[in-house]
Amino acid sequence: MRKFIYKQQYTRPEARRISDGVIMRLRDVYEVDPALMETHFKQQNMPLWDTERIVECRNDHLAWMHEHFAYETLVAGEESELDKGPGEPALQPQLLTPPAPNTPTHTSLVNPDSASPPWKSAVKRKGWRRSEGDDAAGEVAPPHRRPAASPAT
Amino acid sequence: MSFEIVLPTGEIIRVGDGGGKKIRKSSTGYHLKHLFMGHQGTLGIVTEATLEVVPKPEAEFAAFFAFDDYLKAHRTVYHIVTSGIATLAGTVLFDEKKVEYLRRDDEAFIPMPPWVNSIVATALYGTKAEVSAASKILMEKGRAEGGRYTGDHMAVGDWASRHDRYANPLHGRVPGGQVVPMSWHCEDASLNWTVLPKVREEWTAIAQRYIDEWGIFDNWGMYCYTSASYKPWGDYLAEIDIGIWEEKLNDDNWAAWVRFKSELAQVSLKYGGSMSNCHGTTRAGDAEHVPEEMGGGWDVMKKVKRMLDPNNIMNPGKQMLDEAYQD
Repeated sequence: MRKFIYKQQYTRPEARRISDGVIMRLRDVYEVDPALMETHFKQQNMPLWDTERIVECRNDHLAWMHEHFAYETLVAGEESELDKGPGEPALQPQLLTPPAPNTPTHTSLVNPDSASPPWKSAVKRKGWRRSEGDDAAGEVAPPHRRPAASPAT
Repeated sequence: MSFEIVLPTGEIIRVGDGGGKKIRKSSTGYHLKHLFMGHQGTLGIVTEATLEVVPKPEAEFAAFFAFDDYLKAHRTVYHIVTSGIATLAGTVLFDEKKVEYLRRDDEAFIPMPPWVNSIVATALYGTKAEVSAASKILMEKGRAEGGRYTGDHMAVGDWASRHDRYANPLHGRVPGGQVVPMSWHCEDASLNWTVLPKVREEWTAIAQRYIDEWGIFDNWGMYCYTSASYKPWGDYLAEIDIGIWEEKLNDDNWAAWVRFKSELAQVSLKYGGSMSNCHGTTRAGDAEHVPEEMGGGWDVMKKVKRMLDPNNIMNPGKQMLDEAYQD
């Protein structure tokens, strides 16, 4: 059990500015800039253990929500791309494009020649798993190239 | 799926699909179930309900994409909902004001670079095999208009936290940026995909006018949720969230708030939408527009009300239905 020392609990670490209206004193805990809470709505003086309790409760809640949604949470296995800046359209917006005249009528779902995809060595973290499935070219046809009917067997 | 209802005359009936208690589809008789859903207590009292319990899916996959332009995000929603992904549970479009609002307090949005002004959030549910394959298509569609993936951490954390977000922001900002306690009002229209940008433009302009004039409102931005994932022509739950500094409410600015709501509702009607997707239209500011939205159906509504509730004992005054008894 951790000892309660009043001075430690009520001494907030030095603030670091994150944005115009947000500061950070504890790692990953954002706070509204106290300068914005002076006229109508005063900031509470909160002990550190209470802040930690709220953060832990929130993490528990998020984990519970995921368990509630599905048995397993899959992720793309990719980091944020926001540092690349805004993106441009990769294709012309062609809404409801009809199939091209020579579009194949079916696509094999199994490609025996495909190499082992790079994500197979992807790390697992916090119980989230990278979305699995072979993403080799031709594996999943774009919607307008889906077979009109199942191929005869 | 079905429910038992006590009518104002004391009769007890069960309404579902046809006469069945657990039937999903029937072609027998009128579809009375919908008459008794959303009637806001004006036609009877439900005393028993039969619910469908859906098994928990095997796998979930969420992804968020960031844009510097609302129209890119808007087109991305179209690409996603027309992709044919059967496991697509929904797509949510965040506008510039929503991103601006979330940047104040939300852990996922605070660190975002300034160029981000719109977000598309998506989620898939189903078997692991289906969701895995569909996630590749979803990632491709999300990037088709230049969307930037916001990373796995946000995909996992923010999707879950979307379900409790409104428990937190019981405060807003007044002009000048000071924090004030505020309550949340959500104006929730049903609108088609094609009109979302125009409605957004007009709703935002209305909100700004009232914020500037009255100083007790705050624009918390817009979300648009798919109501029918596979139908881009289908309707979206389009909501604009308005913070209201209730401590300052008096007769004058309450009347201003009702006019504010009324103007928002009229924009929805102007663009062929419905004033409410899920909250109902029973409060001042939109209740008075129900006859306009219903058109010829308004007379039918009044006849049904008068026939089932001849003495107007069920929620009198709701939805302008007292008109049914004026002849």
